[in-house]
Amino acid sequence: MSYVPDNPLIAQSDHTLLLETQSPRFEEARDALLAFAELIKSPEYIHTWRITSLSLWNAAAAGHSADEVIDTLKRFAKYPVPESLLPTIREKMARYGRLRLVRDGEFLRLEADDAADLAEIRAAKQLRDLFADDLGDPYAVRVLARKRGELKQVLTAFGHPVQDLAGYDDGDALAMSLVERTPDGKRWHLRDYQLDAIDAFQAGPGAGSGVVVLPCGAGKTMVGIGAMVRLGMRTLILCTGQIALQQWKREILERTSLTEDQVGEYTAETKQIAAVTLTTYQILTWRPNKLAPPVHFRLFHEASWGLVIYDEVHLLPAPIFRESAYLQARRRLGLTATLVREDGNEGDVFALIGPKRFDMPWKRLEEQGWIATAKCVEVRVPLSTEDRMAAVSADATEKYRIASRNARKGAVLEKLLARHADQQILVLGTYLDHLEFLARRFDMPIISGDTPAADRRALYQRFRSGELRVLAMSKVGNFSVDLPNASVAIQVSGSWGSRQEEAQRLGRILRPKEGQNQAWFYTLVTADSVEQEYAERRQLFLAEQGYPYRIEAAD
Amino acid sequence: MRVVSVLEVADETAWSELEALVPLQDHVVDVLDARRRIVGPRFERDLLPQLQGRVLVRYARRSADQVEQARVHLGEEVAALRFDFRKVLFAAQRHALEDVVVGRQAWDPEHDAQAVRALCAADLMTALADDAEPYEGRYQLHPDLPDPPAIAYDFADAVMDETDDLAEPKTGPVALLHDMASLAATLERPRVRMTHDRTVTKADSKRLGKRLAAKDLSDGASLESHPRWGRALRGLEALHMISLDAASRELHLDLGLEATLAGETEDACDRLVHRLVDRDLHVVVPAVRAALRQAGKGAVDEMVFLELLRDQHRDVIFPAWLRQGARVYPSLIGDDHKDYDEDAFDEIEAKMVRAVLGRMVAFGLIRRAPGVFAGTVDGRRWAKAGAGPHPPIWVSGDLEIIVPPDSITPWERFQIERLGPCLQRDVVDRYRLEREGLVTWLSTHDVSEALSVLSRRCPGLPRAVTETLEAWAGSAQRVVLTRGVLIEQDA
Repeated sequence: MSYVPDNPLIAQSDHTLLLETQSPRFEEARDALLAFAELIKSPEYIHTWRITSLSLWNAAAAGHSADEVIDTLKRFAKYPVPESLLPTIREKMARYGRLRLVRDGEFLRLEADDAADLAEIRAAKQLRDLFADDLGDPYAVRVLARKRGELKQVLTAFGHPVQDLAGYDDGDALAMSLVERTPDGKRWHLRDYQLDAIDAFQAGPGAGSGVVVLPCGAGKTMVGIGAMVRLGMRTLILCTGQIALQQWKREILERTSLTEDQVGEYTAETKQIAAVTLTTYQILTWRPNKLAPPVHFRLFHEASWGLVIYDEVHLLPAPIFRESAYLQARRRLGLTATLVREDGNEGDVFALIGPKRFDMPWKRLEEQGWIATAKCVEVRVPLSTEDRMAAVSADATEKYRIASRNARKGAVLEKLLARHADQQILVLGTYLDHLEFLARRFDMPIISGDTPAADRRALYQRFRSGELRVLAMSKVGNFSVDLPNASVAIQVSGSWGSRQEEAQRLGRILRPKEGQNQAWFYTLVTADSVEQEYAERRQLFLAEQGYPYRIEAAD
Repeated sequence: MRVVSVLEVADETAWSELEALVPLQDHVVDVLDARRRIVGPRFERDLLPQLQGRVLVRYARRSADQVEQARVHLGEEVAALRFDFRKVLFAAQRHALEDVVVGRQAWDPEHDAQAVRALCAADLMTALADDAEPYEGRYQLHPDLPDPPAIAYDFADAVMDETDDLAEPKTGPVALLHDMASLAATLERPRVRMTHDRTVTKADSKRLGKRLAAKDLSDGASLESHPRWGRALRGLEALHMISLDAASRELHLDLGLEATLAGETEDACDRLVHRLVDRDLHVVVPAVRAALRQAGKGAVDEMVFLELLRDQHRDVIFPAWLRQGARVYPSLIGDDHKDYDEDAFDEIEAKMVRAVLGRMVAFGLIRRAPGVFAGTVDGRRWAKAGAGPHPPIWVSGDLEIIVPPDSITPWERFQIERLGPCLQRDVVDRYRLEREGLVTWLSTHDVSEALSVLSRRCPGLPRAVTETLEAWAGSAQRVVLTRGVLIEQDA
């Protein structure tokens, strides 16, 4: 077997690609892989990527050929590329573009290069209702315009991706521009990679719909705002929650020429529909009873939106997918840190939001100082003898409860608060009574699900301004809370199995920092307990994401 | 001295936890110190099942340092022996298989009797009970004896270019050794049961398939008829590396497996060859190995090789006995003596060498044509004539181990597979370290040895891995029961 030690890539026959980070050609190969493979995990020495149908279709959508992909694999391969891999790549990539959706008056027309493809599709039961009429043409069939999304979704699931060239309805024009200075007088501009992402979203065949992938803290909101401004059309922005919505609104008002009255909120409390309207997934999917349809879906159709932005598109709920099938004539931008969905519905993102338009390795952003480097430390805290004796005969649930609320965590927290006396700290917990106990002990304000929105906003503002140094947060703090000056997070308890919770909590402290650009992420775990076992899953996740972690004893 | 079981806790608070669960005090025979107590034999039967998962059961064994010290000590003793006694010892070691030597094959029972007596008196070897004839029967060599010096063969004159008519190579032993190592490690946990037809039960085959990352096995294929793993199983059986417990019908690993796999790939391969060739032929093996090493990428002229062997070290195969002033071949009492001359060499040793070469073709170590032999890829590796660069393995903070081809020895594979299941066997193999694997490992080894196995080939073991394994070991070893501890009688 020929072996090229300096090359970094190992292609496995199950379509995973392993990339050696110590190789002198690592960065070159990593950048090349971005085009046609998905990064699965990135621990110290070997990063794992995977070639999937979707990743190959994304590559084809971006204009890459199968020969280019195969050449890249061979050029960087440390061992011969398994022969079985190559025909699969050719076959999958050849599928993209074989079916095209184009305008045909008030209808759409599905065109095929190969009559056999279309014959197969015509024969499929699931697709019959989607066609308007048979044109008698073996290479084309007429499609109802309102079925555009559904057709793409079903065909993607069938393994026949459709190149959507039917174009978009322009929304109402909206004059707006980016401002050069924020209200506090700071000069700002879009970063180069953010501009590249906007360019990629708006370039090439089918441009105007797709997904931009950037890590937490890299400024996805700015990409969304940049794309919106460049298009200059009415925009609907879907956010993960109320706090995220407020952050979007604040950023839009601070970074663009738009005024308060041009930026509306469509939430449980307010139902404003403005030139730019912000709403949440929760309100859109709300329904008065289980059998009723979501009443707020009408928002999608009540205005002439030129662009719909889906924030954290990997969290998009299924009902919104379904409704997005009817929005295919609108431009759509998905923003996410990962294309991997816990529910495995990546294909729906591809079909209904669009192919991946831009991706960037987080390590490069970290090297360039655009996101902070994070040091992850797990502190093992022993139980008191009393608690240990109580845990000996307790059942599993009780053992976990005892471990999570370990009284000795308070002393460790005290030391950590002192260790980072000059930094702003978030204390994160899952068990509210324990978190409240700690909040009382260390006199820190706490944000939980019960905290009214106005109070939350006020506390966030005090934290952002530096007035508050330490803020305790329950699970409500997991998502899309922008607290750029937090450089230390201390988890006192958690549902450690959740990868999403871990990523989001870590994401809170990755915004670039002044000076050393360094963040600390502590987790307090009871030693020799069931909590320690759960925490190991968390360690795996951190290691997979490329964040080295350390284990420290509390003493 | 007496052998006892010792219960040891990492911190004294663990005693009260144990007392809260079982009547420990009833089973304590003696207290050694604050953290160690000798427990009676009923502890394992009566209490251990109730403490499942809380007590790690270990087997007392010598540390690597103790083994090395013993070797050094014996080496000094050997160096102090008379030259002719030492020569007899080395001959015995070269003829021995698994530390057992047949006297008549290694020395002259008449003329070397004094040396044999001296070696026995020095405890360097022991006559086994069934030794019917004085100095001719079986002797057990001390297991800590250092290896004898290598014999200096010079086969340069036999080296030639490869010829076109060399036969196609057969499958070599290196892959088999790795597969045997993988299967053996997998058989260790969970225990595998055999049916009365001496086949592995289907449920166990499936479990093995999962740990081996062999999809067809986990889908229900039979282990015995599996082309790869069935062969590995037969290999283990042929080498008596596994045994069947007649009562439980569970397969057990032979403790000698680790010794067979130890060292570099070439060493393991060499031990395998020695065990597979006929008992009386294995002394020829080093000569063939030396010839292949000197041939490098070339071939060996068989006739010249035989002549050189005869002229240089004929006595390595058979010691010449002196009877009535003449050199004769070893023989059983009552048999006629055969002269130890050139004609006899062609008739006896040359045939043995050719038989060995034939076996080596079957093992995939050499290729043969009339009058010529050359090493295969594995053969050259075994002879240390063709080893390529060894890539590193990678151990990541997510506890995954990536093992490229030719990066580890069979012994290392055995250890890695004990520490966690295989996730994928492909261009490179992927493993994941797991707590259960380490706990099983701790029953015979220390965590530092596990870290040493990993760091040996990995360019930089992440601190997270070290800390995780140490944390696992710390939890698992909070309460340890060590079996077979030797203590002074009055302790």
